[in-house]
Amino acid sequence: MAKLGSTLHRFDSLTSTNDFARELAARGTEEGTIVIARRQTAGRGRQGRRWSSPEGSGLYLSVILRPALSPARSSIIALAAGVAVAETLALDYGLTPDIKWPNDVLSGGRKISGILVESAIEKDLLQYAILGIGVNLMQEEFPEEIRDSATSILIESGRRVAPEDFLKPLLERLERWYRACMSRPEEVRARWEELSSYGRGRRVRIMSGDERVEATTRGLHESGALIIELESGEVREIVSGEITLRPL
Amino acid sequence: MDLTELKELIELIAEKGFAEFELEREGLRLRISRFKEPPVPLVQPAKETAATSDNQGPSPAAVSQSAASAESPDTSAPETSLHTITSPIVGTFYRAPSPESAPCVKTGDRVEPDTVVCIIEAMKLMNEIQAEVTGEVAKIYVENGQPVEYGQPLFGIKV
Repeated sequence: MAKLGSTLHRFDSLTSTNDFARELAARGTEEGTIVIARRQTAGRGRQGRRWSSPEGSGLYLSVILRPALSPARSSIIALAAGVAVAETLALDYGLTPDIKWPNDVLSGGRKISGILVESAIEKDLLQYAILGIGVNLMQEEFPEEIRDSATSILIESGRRVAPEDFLKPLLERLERWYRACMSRPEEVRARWEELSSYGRGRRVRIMSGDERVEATTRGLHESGALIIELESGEVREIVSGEITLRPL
Repeated sequence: MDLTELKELIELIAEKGFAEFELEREGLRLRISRFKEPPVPLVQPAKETAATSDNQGPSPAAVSQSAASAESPDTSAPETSLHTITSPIVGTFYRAPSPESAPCVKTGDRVEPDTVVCIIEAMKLMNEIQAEVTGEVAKIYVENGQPVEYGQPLFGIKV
């Protein structure tokens, strides 16, 4: 595997780094190639939600991956990316981040980083996965609709961190945890549980499809799914859907 | 990187609305800078054109409603004469990349092996599922936003 970031495409402006990385990946571009932009005009998250991407205020990064994993086992990459971002914030910038399952990284209860992985599956094989990471660095304030739910390194610590300064330690940690997805996935799960307050014994409300349940978290399944125990004692695995904190 | 690769890259980025682009890799650094001009209107990809003409509703909200609920899923047992596309993973089934966009495919649409028919989400990993066969979408077995199991039938394709 080529080192992550061994080839770098840097734009002043793009619609979305994930979109361009997908075009590259579909043309056979090698694993580890990264795309960054100073701003995104159509940055997005899960299900087409917008990711606020003002110029120079955040890191907008996409990484082309070609993991040697079956589609069913590849979801662990989404957790590993959250681990890499949270570790970088904690160890390199002195924050005390939390990870909301599966991989929203929070600081002081507000979102500081969002991760979106997009993959192409053909005949039960993963052709490629695009790992998209947005990190809020130097925003002093956010648009009205996310003002109460978003934060940045500047707001949390008073430090001004340039996107490319954050990129270097992040890529090193990503590389380590991405490799672990294939060789030692149990270490990814263990590290995730260490860094996240959502791993065990947390009261949560889960929304999935039309269903709403309240439960207590009981760690991660081998696949990376969140194990929850309902009040009835029934144990379930959550693989997707929204997770929200139960108000106490 | 040889000249052919470089030419392909430049063709690929030519239509992106950037003013500065840099490529860095071992032994190579390429910088392209150009005047900021309004982006040249692009020919719409066929899929998007279809989506626009389909959705001439009065407001985006109305459009997303119709995209999600225009067709109700067929809950009858998969027909054996059809090629069945099954889910390769456990996750949540989405017919479109976002609630505002048109479904990837509708009943009656022609598909090629590389046509993306839906997205299955697991742990915020959005997996695009390809048709793998050439044919016509005859059945859609699952409703948008519902959880699916490994091996669960998603589409029936008349090949």
